[in-house]
Parts: sequence; structure tokens; C-alpha cells
Amino acid sequence: MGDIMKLLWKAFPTLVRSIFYQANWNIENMQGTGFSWLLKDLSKRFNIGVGNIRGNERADYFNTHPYFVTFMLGMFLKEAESGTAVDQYKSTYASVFGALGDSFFWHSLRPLTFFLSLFIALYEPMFAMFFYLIFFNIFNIGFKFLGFYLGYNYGTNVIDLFRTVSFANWSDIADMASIFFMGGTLAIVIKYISNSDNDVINSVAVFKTAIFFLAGYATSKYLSAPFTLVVGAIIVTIVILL
Amino acid sequence: MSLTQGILLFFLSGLSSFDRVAGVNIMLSRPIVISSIIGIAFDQILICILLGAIFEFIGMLEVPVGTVIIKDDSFAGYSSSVLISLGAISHNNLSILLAIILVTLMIYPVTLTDIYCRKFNKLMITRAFNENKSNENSDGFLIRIGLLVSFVRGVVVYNLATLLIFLALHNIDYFAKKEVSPIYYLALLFILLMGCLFRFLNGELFVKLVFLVVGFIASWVIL
Repeated sequence: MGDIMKLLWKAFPTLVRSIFYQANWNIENMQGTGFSWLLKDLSKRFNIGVGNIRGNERADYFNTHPYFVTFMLGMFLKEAESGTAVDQYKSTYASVFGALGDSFFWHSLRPLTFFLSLFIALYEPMFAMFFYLIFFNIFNIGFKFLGFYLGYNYGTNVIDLFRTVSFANWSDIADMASIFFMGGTLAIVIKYISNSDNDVINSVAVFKTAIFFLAGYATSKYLSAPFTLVVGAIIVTIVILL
Repeated sequence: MSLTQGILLFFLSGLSSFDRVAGVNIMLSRPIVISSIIGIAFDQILICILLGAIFEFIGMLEVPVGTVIIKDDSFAGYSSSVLISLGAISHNNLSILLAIILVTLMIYPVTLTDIYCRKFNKLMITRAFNENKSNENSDGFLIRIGLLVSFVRGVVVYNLATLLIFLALHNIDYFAKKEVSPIYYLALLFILLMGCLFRFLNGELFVKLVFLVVGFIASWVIL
């Protein structure tokens, strides 16, 4: 435990810097500038010498998920200390971490956090925002700090760790949980519509809900989300005016 | 609007763009979070959360993979909450729907400015590379410029676009014929977007349906 803390403490400034690594995001080298910036900083703190690591040039293409970049840093540090030419793995690992991060954080954790927050908002709206920030950032910060340690500890074998914990399935589990809460939200919305002042009986509310839900399901195949929203708003306007 | 509220909006617009484009990524830029903060500041929390929830779906339905720049849902959450908090949208007629349409359409030009930010970053990196500035200070400079540009973009673009919608709402004859609670049709839009998200989420259709129904029943019984 002491070793972990010592390592994290030494790398702490670089890990804090890592929250800005996307700042020069561009279509030329993606986050290459940010990664080079972090690598040089890490190199200075651990005296590994930038020259030991190829791929630290700013112009180099680099793209990975922002919450996974510290895994790469830990891995680089480990490999640089042992004198391995890690640059040949760089694009492969960056892509794998990018895919894992996009799938779990952007695709699945956001909807799950959203629905959980929504349920909290029913009881105390003010807490919903705090819950959203805390719940999501437990994963964000956890991955950032623990990721560096794991990257350093496992080196290029860190991918096996993801396989061991079946990380690829986390996204599916989170999606199923989101759908469960989506069902719960539907029930609440129907209850709300039924009790509102619109002279709507339960069966009509259920029918309307089903129609709108199916319409959303059907249109999402052909329309983008903003366009669906615009078309939906126009349809609802017409329905109300009729 | 008080001075404190004005200052809050200034920083919130900048920080939400900063959070989504350049760094930190603590999810301050999520529409539901921005809307809640504005709702608390202007004492309009419920309607703001609902608006934030509507626009949250836009972000949830897109994944920023590789070079993909997703639609700026942060702007939508910010703008709609500011408009309703400042009284530009009435709670009791169809103006809220018109505002949703205008804000959604405005997402496209606002997202364009995100693309221009990336192009600006590219210009900066190309220039630095051509001048052969390869020291760490130069990297740090590029990072700081990126952070600053994203913050300024939020302050200028988000507020300018919101002002344009505000003016449009005032100039369009949007008076509704029927008095219907806005929450009613917001709920309908909400369901429509949930249908979109249902297709988007992973899993076999049958398994997803089972989870949906179980969740529905559980919630119906418990709540």
C-alpha cells in the first residue's frame, strides 16, 4: 500500500495535469500534443529521460479515451524503466483503451448515471445534480489514479487485467440497468400524465406513451437525435392544437 | 437577473464548454447538471431539470468516437434553462415547444464553432511544428491556448446564441390556443427520446424488453 501511495504521490502533478490533456485536440494529431506534454512531465519527475521513449514528439498522432490516458502513462513509465521499446505498442494500446472507454463511459455510464439521477430528482431535485457528478466521477477519478498504478504494475500486460474483470461486459450490464430504470421512468411518467389536469384516463395515457415510445424507437433508425427532437416537438404542438 | 446570477452564467457558460471540449471532463457540461445549477440559482429547478433531461438524450445518443464531434448538448441545456429562468419562455403555453425547436436548431451552428476550435488547435500545432518549437514550454502554451479558446467559446457563443433565441421568441407570434401544462408535453417528448435510447443501448431486443417491463412493474408497484 505504501508503494502505491509513494508512486501516486510522485506522479500526482502529472495525473492532475492529465485532466487537461485534451486541450489541443485537433484532427491532425488528435491528443498527441497533450500526451507529449504529459510524457515529458512524467519523464522529468521519474528521471527516465524523454530520449528513452519514442513517440513523445508532439506531432505524433495519439488518441485514447481521456479517462484511460493514465493507464498509458503508467505503462510507458514501466516499459521505459525496463528499457523496452514501448512505442510499437502505442497506437494499439491507445486504440484499445479508446474503444473500452468510449463504450463504457460515453455509451453506457452516462445513460445509467442519468436515469439514477432522475430517480433521485423525484425525491430531492437538488441532490440529482450532486449525485450525477459524484457517481460519474467516482469512476473517472478512480480510473485516472488507479489506472496509473495498474499501468505501471502490469505494464503491457494491463490488457489481461481488463479481460480478467470482463470489462467489455460492464457496458452491457450498465445498459441493462439503464433499461431497467427506463422502465421505471416510463411508469412514473404514465402515473404523472394520468393524474394531471388533461382529462386523460389511464388507458389513454398508456396508449399515448406506447405510441411515443415506439415512434422514438422507429425514428431513431433514420433520424439524428436533434432532428427527432425537432420533429417530435412539432408533432406534439400539432396534437395539442388539434 | 442579479449581478451574482450574471457572473454565475458567465462562468458556467465558459466552464461547460471548457469541460466538454478541452479538459477536466467532470461532467459539468452535461445538460442535466448545467440545467440543475441554473435552476437552483434562479429557483426554477424542476422545469430546468426537465429541460436538461430532454437535451441530455441528444448527448446520450451520440458517442464521441475518434474524430467524431458530437452535437453540443451542453449549449442546449444551458440556453433552454437560461431562457426559462429569465422568463423568455412562458410556463403556460406552447412557447416552450417553440423554444425547444429553436434551441435544437441552434445546436448545429454552435457545434460548428466546436469544429472551428479543433481547426484552430490544428493551426496552432502546425505553426509550432513548422517553427520547430519542440520544447515543453511550447507544449504547455498550446495546452493553455486550447483551454482559453474553449472557455471563451462557451462565454461568447453560448450567450450570443441564447440571445438570438431570446430575440426570436420575442418576435414570433407564438401565442398558443390551448392552455396545457408544459410538463405534460415535455413528458411526451421525453418518452419519444426514451424510445430512441432503447434502440441505442446494447443487448438483445427480447432481453431489453424483459428488463424494461420488470423495471416498469417494479417502479409502478414501489412508487
